[in-house]
Amino acid sequence: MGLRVDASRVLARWSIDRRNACLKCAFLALVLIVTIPGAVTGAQELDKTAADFHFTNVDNQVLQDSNSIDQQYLKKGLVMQDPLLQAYLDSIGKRIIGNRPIPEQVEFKFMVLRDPMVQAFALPNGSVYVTTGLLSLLENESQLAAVLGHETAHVFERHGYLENRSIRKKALTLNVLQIVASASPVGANLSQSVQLFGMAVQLGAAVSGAIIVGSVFGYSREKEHQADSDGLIALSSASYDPTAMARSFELLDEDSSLEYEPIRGFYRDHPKLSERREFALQYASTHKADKPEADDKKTYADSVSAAACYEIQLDLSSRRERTAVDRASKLSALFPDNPKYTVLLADSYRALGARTKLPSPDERTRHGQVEHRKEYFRMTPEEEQKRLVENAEGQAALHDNEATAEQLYRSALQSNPNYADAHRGLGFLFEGEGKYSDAATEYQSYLSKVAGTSMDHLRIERRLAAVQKLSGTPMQSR
Amino acid sequence: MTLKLRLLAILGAAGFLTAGALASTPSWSFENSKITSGEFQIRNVCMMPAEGKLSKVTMKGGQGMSNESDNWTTALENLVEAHLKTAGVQIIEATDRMTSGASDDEIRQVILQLNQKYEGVANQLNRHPKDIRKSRYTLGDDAALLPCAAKSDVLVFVQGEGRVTSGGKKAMGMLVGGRSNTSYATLILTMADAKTGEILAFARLANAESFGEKFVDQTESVYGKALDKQLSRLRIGMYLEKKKKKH
Repeated sequence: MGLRVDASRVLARWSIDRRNACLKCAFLALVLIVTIPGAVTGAQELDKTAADFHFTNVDNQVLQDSNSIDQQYLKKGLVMQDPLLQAYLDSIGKRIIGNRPIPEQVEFKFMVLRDPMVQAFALPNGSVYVTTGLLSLLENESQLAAVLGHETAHVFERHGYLENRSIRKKALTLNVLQIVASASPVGANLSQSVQLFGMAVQLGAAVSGAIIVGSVFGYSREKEHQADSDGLIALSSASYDPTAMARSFELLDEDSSLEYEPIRGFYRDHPKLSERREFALQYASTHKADKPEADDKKTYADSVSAAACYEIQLDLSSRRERTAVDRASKLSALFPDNPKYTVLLADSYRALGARTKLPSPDERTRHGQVEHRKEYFRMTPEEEQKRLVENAEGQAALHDNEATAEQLYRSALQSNPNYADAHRGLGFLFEGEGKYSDAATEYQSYLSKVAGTSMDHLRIERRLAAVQKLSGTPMQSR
Repeated sequence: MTLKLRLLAILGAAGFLTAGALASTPSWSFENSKITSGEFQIRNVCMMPAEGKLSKVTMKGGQGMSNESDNWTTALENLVEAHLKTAGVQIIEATDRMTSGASDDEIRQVILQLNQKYEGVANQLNRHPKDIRKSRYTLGDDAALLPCAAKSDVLVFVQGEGRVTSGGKKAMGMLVGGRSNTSYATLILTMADAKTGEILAFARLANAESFGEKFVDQTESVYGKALDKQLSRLRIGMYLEKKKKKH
């Protein structure tokens, strides 16, 4: 009896569900009728190009947002304010733009962002940003010009505005798809929905709308290709070596294997680097620059040294020690007599600790990368070092890195015995190794060479007191 | 009681409870025993620049809210500073050059580097804040590079993260179901030892609202009470004296 009652309740419930489902379907039909034509019209608008571009309210909003982003960067102190570096960047930017007419509502500005990620991007208002990470990766001026050529092309071609228009339309379509995906009674309308939008979109929309926008609808593969192409033309017109673009792609590809961080930098969502490199090489083989200037690695490195030195410090604060070693090695090789670069390289080796300079074969595999990424997020830097030291490989790496760091600090002191930072580095190194009295000596040397108002004075005084206590040396009154 | 009356009573109670839940700001804090035992006393703090991020989710996709974020950042900073002052704590801004020979640009660089270091541990810290008790997290003694650190007990990081959902998106959420389409905002307060960089305290104040976005422009009414509660729990400033008197 009870069973029969339950069954009748289930039946009643089912009929209510069916009624609700019918109501939902009717509502959905209305939504689809109203929104789909708009979305389709939007899709047709994607064909618009810079030639027939006219500002709309949506574009004005994009312009306003771009200006706000500029202000935000400035306000947060992310834009590097180095007059020499700025003048250098401006001169390359000016050369790349040449005599081309500047589009409406565009004012080209070239700026350096304090950011370890290898990135470059242009806002629709003409602000072109390159990060300290990218500047320290590139080898010469032509490569930087190639990046600026690519980014300025996005501005000339109004890609920012056009992309925004298309994304808005796609987002609207996706919202409709989401309704379709979730409101369909199981099994009933699935096939219909697949017929309308395709299986990939249907399944993808249920998982992540963003992926669909990026992959299925495509993030302007053509636009990136166009920017590469325009960038190459600008590069050879400005008498830069057009092969520089291909080399910059190679550098980006090589660099991406050094660390295993979650956000892969720039160009990841662009077409494949190998394809782009091939295209750039092909172009370069047929279009030689009129009077290509010889590229001097030293001049470039010297011009961007402020950014590169800052970048190494940033890498060290953001667990990118391998990148720091790579960048400092480059600087040190170009300027072997400069103690500043030698000490930066020594600092980087010291920070590596028990990590190897290059990723091990295991870390290079896909599985290895995933595992190491997990550990990276699970452990603090101190825990990671502790775990690495547990095995023989880690111990060997620690020994080698510490020996290299000490040798480099000593070499910096040989070229300039008064270089205080080398003493400080040695102090840190000895303290880490448990050689407290040696550390105390180095800290004392450091403190005797820097002004009492220096930012590091108090910290080193505290460290000195701590190591003196540990070594049993009586504290000296200062 | 008739069925109608019973239904009305249930609805009334549900409404009362919902209103209470929406108005409250649940908060949690985790601290090192050095703080709760009174071994480490917080009377002077160095305020790192606050960071508030708001985004808007609409039917047309996600949108930035840069102006609102700016206003919110200022509001959060003022709120925390006001409550710390009320608790009898002296405040120094991280950007203050004090008597050091550091330039503004040098200080800005150190702030950015400390923020990078903070981001480096934030992932683990947000997941396992309890581990603060085990002294698991540190920014290193780079914290002492800031001129303000010389005269402070802790560096205070103020972070806010919020999402504002448009009416259309909320309506769609109700239709679609299964996904949270509520506006929310979380205020996170982290305190690191100004000498060693060790993270000593972490407080999270969460607020979710189905109707309106009060947290954007009424920070005091939304977070004020919860903030005082957490400052008291962390025995900051005068709260330490109060606890001592109690005992």
